[in-house]
Amino acid sequence: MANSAIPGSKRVSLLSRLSLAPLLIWSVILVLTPNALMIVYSLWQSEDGVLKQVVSIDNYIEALTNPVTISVLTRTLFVAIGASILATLIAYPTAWFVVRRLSKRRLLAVLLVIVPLWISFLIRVYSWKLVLGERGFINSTLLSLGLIDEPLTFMLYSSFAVFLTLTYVAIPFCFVASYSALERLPNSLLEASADSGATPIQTFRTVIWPLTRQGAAIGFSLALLLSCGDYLTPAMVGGLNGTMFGSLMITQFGLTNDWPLGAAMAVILLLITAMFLAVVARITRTEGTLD
Amino acid sequence: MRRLKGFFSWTAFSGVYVFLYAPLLIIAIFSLNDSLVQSMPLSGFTTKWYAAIAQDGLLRNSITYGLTIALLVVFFSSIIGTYFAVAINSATGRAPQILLATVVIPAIVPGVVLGLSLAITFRIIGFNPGLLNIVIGHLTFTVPVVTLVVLNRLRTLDPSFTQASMDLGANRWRTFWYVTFPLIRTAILAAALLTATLSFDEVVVTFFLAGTDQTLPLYIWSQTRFGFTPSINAIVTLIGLISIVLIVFATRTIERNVQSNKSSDKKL
Repeated sequence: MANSAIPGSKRVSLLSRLSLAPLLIWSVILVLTPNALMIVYSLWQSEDGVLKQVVSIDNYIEALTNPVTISVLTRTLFVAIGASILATLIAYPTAWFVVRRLSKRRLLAVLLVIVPLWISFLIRVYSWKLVLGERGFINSTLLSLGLIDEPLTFMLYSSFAVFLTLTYVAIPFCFVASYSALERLPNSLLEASADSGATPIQTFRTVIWPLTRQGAAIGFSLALLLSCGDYLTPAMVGGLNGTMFGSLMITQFGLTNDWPLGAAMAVILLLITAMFLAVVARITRTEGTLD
Repeated sequence: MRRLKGFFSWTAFSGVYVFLYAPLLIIAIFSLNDSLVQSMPLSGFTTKWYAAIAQDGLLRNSITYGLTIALLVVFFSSIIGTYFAVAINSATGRAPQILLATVVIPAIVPGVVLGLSLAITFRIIGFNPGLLNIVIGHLTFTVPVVTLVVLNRLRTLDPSFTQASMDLGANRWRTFWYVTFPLIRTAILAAALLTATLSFDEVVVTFFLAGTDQTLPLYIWSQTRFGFTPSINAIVTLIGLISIVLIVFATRTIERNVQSNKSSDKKL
């Protein structure tokens, strides 16, 4: 398709420029404008549900000084980062196992991890409500076996439930990202490392990890993006103790009807996640490339 | 020692799969359990929760509504996304890279942020919440998915195919239709299937854009949050089974197509 590389075809080059125009229009109308409007909105005020178009940073000050918002934001970051790390720690070795140990059944193993991604996010979250609930699968099983007398209540409607569910939801993303990096690792590199007398741990630290950590980081980042702004999980299994930043945003949109404050929270969330992802991308750059 | 290590890694490996599937299986088991309360021990076998699906008018409406949206989204995002991929692939310089990065943004930002920014935009321009808003909202994150999948395929194509076609006098359009399109068809099909599930399952963005009509996930959402209705388990199990059948079908088609492409490559 390298038409424009043909020398002396100015007309073709102009044509390919023109053919990018729809992309520009799309980007401006559906990407840049909504984000710009969200920022504008975050600078306006809402008084008793009435929109006042006065520019000020009051919403940001309110969001960042309110103790409730601060504590929920901190909890959200802890839970989201924790879940993303745990999901990566589970998914990366699993991907490694699939790449190294399986040959015939490899495609099936990969497919089985991806299948849950195709089953609705909502359903996957809901399933944990059935597992962890006061009369859910775990409690009612333990009760009927006589192992406990009272249902364990710490499981549902807590940060723990949100953490567990987010980890569960994130595993397939982390797996796919880790797998596609590990799969491209040539066997010869590992053999060379072993032949040179490296222990498996040394091989991992000096060969495998530096070449595949970018994949792990992509999976981690996807998981973080997914869990940072999520409000379905906290609403379904989090209860009052498991409220997350996304739930607070939704409240501004619905119950409180303070869209400008909600917009300010969205901008804050966006900036924080962008910052984290930039750090992750920076510290996990690969040393060398695999084609 | 070695065998013990092998045993442990196999156990851990299988454990991951058990973790992934156990909650889903529990939904399926409860969907066949003859009790209003979803607890162990099981009370007996019944299919009445499945029968109840047919009686639920709201549920049926939400499925039709969701399918209508998904069809529109698949139709438009396949065309727009394919066009974007071809345009980006044939242009040179930095402009296509920057445009691609911009188009992809809505697919990466957290759903709440995308939903809120779109809701604000529609409110300002005065679009009432409803079908049109949802379709546009879904397109913002499905078009980049199609673009990336198709672009990925285009970049693996041998440029000599299109060059040969142009040398033989075919114009850009004929070259696309007779040479490029048959080669990227499976990528478009795969992207369309992905888009369909993405749209049909979406809750977060849809929540901000929906009017009074509910899509299926919004209906399930409103049902599961407060009341427990066992027929939700039944519908959820059905969707899961349909998804799995679709995936198997999609993977088969793609594999077969890749193989037939390979063999036609050989013939060339």
